[in-house]
Amino acid sequence: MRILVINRKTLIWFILLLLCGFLAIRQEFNQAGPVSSLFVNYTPILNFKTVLLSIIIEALPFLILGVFVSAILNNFVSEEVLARFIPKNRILSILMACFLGVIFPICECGIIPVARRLANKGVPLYSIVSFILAAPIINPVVASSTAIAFTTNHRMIWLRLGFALIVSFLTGFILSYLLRGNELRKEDSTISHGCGCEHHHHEDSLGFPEKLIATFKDACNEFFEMGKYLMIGASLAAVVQTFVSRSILTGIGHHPVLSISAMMVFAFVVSVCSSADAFIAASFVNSFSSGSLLAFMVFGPMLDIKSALMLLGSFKLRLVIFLTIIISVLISIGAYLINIWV
Amino acid sequence: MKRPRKELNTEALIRSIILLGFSTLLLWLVISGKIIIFINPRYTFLSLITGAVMFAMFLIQTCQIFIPKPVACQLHSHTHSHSHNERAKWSYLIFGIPLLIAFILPTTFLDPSLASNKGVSINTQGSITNQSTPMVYVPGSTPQMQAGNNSTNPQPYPSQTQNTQRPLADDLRSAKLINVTDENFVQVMVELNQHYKDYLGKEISLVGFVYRDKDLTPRQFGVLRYVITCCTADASPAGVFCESKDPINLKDGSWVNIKGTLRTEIYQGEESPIIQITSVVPAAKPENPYVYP
Repeated sequence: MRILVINRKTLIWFILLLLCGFLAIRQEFNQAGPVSSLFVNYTPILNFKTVLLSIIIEALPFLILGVFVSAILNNFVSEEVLARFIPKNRILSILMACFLGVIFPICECGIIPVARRLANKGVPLYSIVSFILAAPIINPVVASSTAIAFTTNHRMIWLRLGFALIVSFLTGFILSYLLRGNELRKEDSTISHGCGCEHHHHEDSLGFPEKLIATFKDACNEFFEMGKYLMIGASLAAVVQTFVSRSILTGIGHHPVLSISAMMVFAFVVSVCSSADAFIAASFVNSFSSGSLLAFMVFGPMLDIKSALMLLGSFKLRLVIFLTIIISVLISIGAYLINIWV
Repeated sequence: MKRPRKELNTEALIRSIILLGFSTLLLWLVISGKIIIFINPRYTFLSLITGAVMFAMFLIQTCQIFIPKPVACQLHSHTHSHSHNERAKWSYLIFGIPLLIAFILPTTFLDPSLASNKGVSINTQGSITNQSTPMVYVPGSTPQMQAGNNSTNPQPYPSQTQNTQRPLADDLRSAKLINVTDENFVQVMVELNQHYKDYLGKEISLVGFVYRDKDLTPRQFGVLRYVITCCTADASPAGVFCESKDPINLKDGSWVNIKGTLRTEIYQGEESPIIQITSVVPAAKPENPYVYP
């Protein structure tokens, strides 16, 4: 910890610095500053900024929502209460997890902090995985956006929802036999009030104002932990969107196998929110097979750059690898079958 | 007389600045109206709430600047806490860079030059399909049903489409001139794409940016706009393709107001709708160049 001397001199320098900074930034706002004029004509960088910020601005509300839900769970809901709500039967609890998205329609960015907190509180991990996979797709917001994007082809909505349900259920089911023990990363089992110390507190022993402050502090900490993955993921996605042309994808659109893999890779790197990816998929409707479009719409919300990084930040590498393999295989097979049968 | 030294929690200070940066960014964008550059206006209230919440987080984090880290943490081994702090400080750069980009680079609407990257479907080169590619491209609609479509039995009219909603059909059919506005852009495009045969010979006018492609002749060009669903990252170009009598020397990405008549053309062996231009006038870029479904 560095030691800062607080006295009148420091304060004056600080205020002067702030003032200069403010004036400089104000110039830049009006695009009259030296840095802005450098970039004014370099449109790819400006496009990159627009796409990057749009991803961040769109994801931030959900990330904040997720960290606060997680913090509230930590401070106000005890393990006992949660245990009462989760069915003991393996199949039932996985099934319930798949449909939780209907009441928690949070974007992927918000789900992972909540998932981590639930894991900490003792909810079985296979159910949590199903929740992470299903909630971004099986919810009313995404269902309606898919309906709008595919106005002429309502089958796609049911196919998408059904496909997602099957994949998340099966993944949870398979993982319930594969996983033993705690899959959380060691350092993060001590997520707490920022002091880094392990302590298990009892929710009922603190008063409401203290709990509220603790909630804010927890939310702040989780925001900084999870937020960095959002920033990195958004930057990578923005780079792909700005500098990589979609013409790379043409020509493989109707190949029965390659189209599926191409769409899954595309879904991974383009990292758009699950309510918008239906429109992007729809834009390929004439050049790509239905199976590959469904693969795009089911794989993307389950795993993309942003969520992969966030998962790696919260769970062990082994779990993330298992997850990736299982859902890739399931989705590839499913999409191929859809291509043949439907 | 020297004041006693005070220890500040510098990590909390960095966090405060970052939180202040984000909340200021969000609130500034919403208040100035520039937020529509990035997201669908429907979601503005979300950003407003988030900005306010992050400001509250900033306040709480600021209080923590003056609370030194608890003594208990210094019980960790010295090397562990040291490296943890170093790593933590650098990781805040990941937040700082997007913030810097946000404040220092100029804020602009998505440039038309990205349209080709985003995929304007005129023609899929090397495609092995015999499906006709619509010249009038719209996200999410097909002129014919996807499955069960083969070239040996072409459907002359998309009577098998499952879509039975055609809210604009009557208005458009009875209008002498189809005037495409910011509000009805996407609906008109969907309608035209699916049922262009109903409107052959009709006059149509719209505003969009010019799109030129090497696959098109010098007399052909697209007039498109970006359709934004949630945020600019999912922006899809949509619009019409046009042909004029004389070669056009319009710059790619420039804004025009066109008037023309809808007709069809055989393109790669298939019939497609196209606008025969009767007038092209440079237009001012609209205040909000995006359109929404």
